[in-house]
Amino acid sequence: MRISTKGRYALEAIVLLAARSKETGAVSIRKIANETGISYGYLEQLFTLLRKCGLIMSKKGSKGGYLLSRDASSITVGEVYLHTEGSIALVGCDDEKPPYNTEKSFIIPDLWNEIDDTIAYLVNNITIESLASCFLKRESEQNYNYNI
Amino acid sequence: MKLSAKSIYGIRGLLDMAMHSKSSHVKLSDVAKRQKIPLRYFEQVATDLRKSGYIYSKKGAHGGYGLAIPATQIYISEILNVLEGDMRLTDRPSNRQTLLQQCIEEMVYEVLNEKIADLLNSTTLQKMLDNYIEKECEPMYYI
Repeated sequence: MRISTKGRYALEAIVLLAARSKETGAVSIRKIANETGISYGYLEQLFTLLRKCGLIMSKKGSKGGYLLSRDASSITVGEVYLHTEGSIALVGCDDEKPPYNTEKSFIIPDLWNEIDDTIAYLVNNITIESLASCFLKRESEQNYNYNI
Repeated sequence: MKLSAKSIYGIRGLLDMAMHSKSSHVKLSDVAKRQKIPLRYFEQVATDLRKSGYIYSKKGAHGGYGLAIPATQIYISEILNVLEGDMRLTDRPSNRQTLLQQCIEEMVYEVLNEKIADLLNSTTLQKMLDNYIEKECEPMYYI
């Protein structure tokens, strides 16, 4: 039941994009690749997906690159996973195929709904803004320490 | 990030066993039929659960399977450890995480994994069963 590599990389890339675009405007894939260690080729494909989903947009030109399509405070982790995982449910009892489909004769534990609701609540309430802020704060603390 | 079919079928089958094996043993084929689980699949699940000590099998005329531990003492986290491996949404973090990965680990993954673990570690098979029976047996009022 792991979150996919795509999901993990997407979250990292989007948070970094949010952080860096605050400082410098549009960010290139090359920069994201260098800072995250994710391969350029992979990011190219990932960013095409994220652009099509409306999470990021591209800016052409000499200072071109990518930007978030909306304010980082209005994009949640849940939204990112929705596009990369398909669904953020662990069980998702309304899926059509067995074993997730439900019929009256099956025992459908409340626990599954509770887990799915908990996950949804958590990921839908963590914004990219909060993650980017955390990162930038730690980065400046680290730089401060190095500069003493 | 879906739970595997093995776990869904496994828990469903185990709940059925808990419900039906109180006074007599159950046949895997009956459980599979009631819960619409492919029998071959459920046989494999039963083998794993038997080897881990949660269910036992008895041969003979009135034989079949039963719970080896009371449902009140079986935690869902234990069963899922057997069937799913572990209940994490992410692998344990390596020592060499970037600053960015650390932030995401702390604010997203740790929180999620802990919350899920809490829910599973506090829910017994019996509790799940009680919830289900309560839900299913709610009387309907007609005016």
